[in-house]
Amino acid sequence: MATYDLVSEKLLLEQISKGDEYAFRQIFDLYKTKIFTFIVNFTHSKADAEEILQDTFLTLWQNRYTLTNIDHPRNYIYTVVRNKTYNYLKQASKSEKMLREVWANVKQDCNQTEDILHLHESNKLIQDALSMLSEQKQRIFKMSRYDGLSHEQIAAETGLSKSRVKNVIVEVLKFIKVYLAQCTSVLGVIAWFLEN
Amino acid sequence: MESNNDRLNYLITQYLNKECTADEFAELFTYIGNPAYEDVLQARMRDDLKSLTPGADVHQVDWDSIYNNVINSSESNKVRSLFSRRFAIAAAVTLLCTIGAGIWVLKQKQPVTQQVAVVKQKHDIKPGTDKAVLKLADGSEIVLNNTAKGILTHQGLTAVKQQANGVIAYQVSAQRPQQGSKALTNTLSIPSGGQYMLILPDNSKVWLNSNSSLTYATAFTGDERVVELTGEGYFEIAKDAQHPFVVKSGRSNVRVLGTHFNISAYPNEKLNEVTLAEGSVMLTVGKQSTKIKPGQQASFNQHDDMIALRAVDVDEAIDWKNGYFQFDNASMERVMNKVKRWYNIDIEYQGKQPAVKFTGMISRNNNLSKILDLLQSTGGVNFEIVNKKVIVKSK
Repeated sequence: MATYDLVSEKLLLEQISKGDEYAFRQIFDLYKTKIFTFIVNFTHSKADAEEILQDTFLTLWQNRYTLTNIDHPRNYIYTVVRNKTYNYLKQASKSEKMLREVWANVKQDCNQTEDILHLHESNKLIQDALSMLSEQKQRIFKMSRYDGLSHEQIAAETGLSKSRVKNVIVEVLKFIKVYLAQCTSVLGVIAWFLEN
Repeated sequence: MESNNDRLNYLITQYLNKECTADEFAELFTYIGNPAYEDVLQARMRDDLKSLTPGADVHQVDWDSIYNNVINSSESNKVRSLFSRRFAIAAAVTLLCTIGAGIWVLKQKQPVTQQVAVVKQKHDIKPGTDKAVLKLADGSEIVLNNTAKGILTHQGLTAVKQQANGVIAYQVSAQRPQQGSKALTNTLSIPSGGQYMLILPDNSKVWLNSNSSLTYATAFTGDERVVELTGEGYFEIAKDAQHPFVVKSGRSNVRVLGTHFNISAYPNEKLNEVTLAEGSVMLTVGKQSTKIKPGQQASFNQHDDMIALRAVDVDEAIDWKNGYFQFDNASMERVMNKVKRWYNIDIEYQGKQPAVKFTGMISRNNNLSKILDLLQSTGGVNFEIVNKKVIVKSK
């Protein structure tokens, strides 16, 4: 997006406002990567970034009949995504639970030994850690690890994208890892999960 | 303030680089929780959007699936036909007001911003409470209003118990009722400004919102567990694959095996909504049926069989059950309808209905004036409380 073509983007918005899905896909492709990277920078969660991104474009699509009033498409799109990201952070600031998740994503992986240790004892701790996460994340994780469903199957079941499912699982693992590191000396336990 | 801004900028940099300590992280989020610092954060976001180059990980994202979710969950054509043309025009007018504005979240500990003009009022109005009227099979009624704990009455082999404040429970005696034996019917009605929770004989839980009622059998003996709802309820259905649970409301019915969902079916609202928190449900409206997935909301009107599905924030749909008003880009009318039912008041629009939209959340335990202050502080609308009526004026 080195050159910003205001005229042609306004034209695209005009087509979108008439319900032109092809034009909408062009705007989606034009902005998706930049918006995604932006949200990841501020949330440190790829899984949540997908959700916020999807929500951003959903807002654009739902409001498409009003898009002709927009003078500056890029500013408009950026405003929507900034506000959604801001709301996310603001929500996190009010929720211990969300903050713990964000913190787990911020923490760099500290090279823990990845030996398989004391799986038995730690199972309860893993359950404790899981119970701190949102119902949706718990559910996805359980479908993957306990029910043995593939990412495709989980995506189909939950209606989420495959990459979102994958990122949720990765981030849940990270969360458990950080949780276990706080609690005990059995740091490597999580390797069992990671190998799958 | 100046030095605080510097501090915040430093914390944001640390956070973006993933280099912050646990203390810095906590400090950053106290700033973020304070609306006074929104500008600093927004400015940093603006800078980031200007300067960033997409990372390599964007290639791992399943873009087609996200795109399809956007298109499908908005169910564009169907949704549109549910609204009148006027809606589209009104939305066009309001859009610019909405963007970048109207984010209010009230922290319980903090007083509302002082510069806000206080809503004109003669008497403040208190929030709703736990209250309900229970109608028994023989037509007699029991008023539930901080009733003492214990058994209220018996209905056949079922004991009706006030289990806790605002909770009534049906307990079937150990002796299981005969299949096909005659079931008694009870109705729990919630007035304006009320709410109540009900535990059905099968241990399913139902939260009922203001102006709502539920009719049900005092023991489920048939093949299906059937109840009838008007108004709004949140259901946590006990699993029983042999006996599907069916909620009837008007022309629609929702059929489930065991799951959590919210139904809003007020006769005076334009749209009825079924929102699924977990599990899966089958919704039938007239001749149309559709399966709803977690995180989806189905909406339909009173006149045709069209069902529109969209992805929603489930928390917003069940805000009332959690003790909040929560709005995401909600119209004036939608906001005021919720307020009206909980505070048991009338609403009068003076002149045109204000074309503003609201986003935010606040506890339902506040007095009415506090809620109105907050809505008013976003600009675009003025309120006056006269007796038990709120007058809404466009600004």
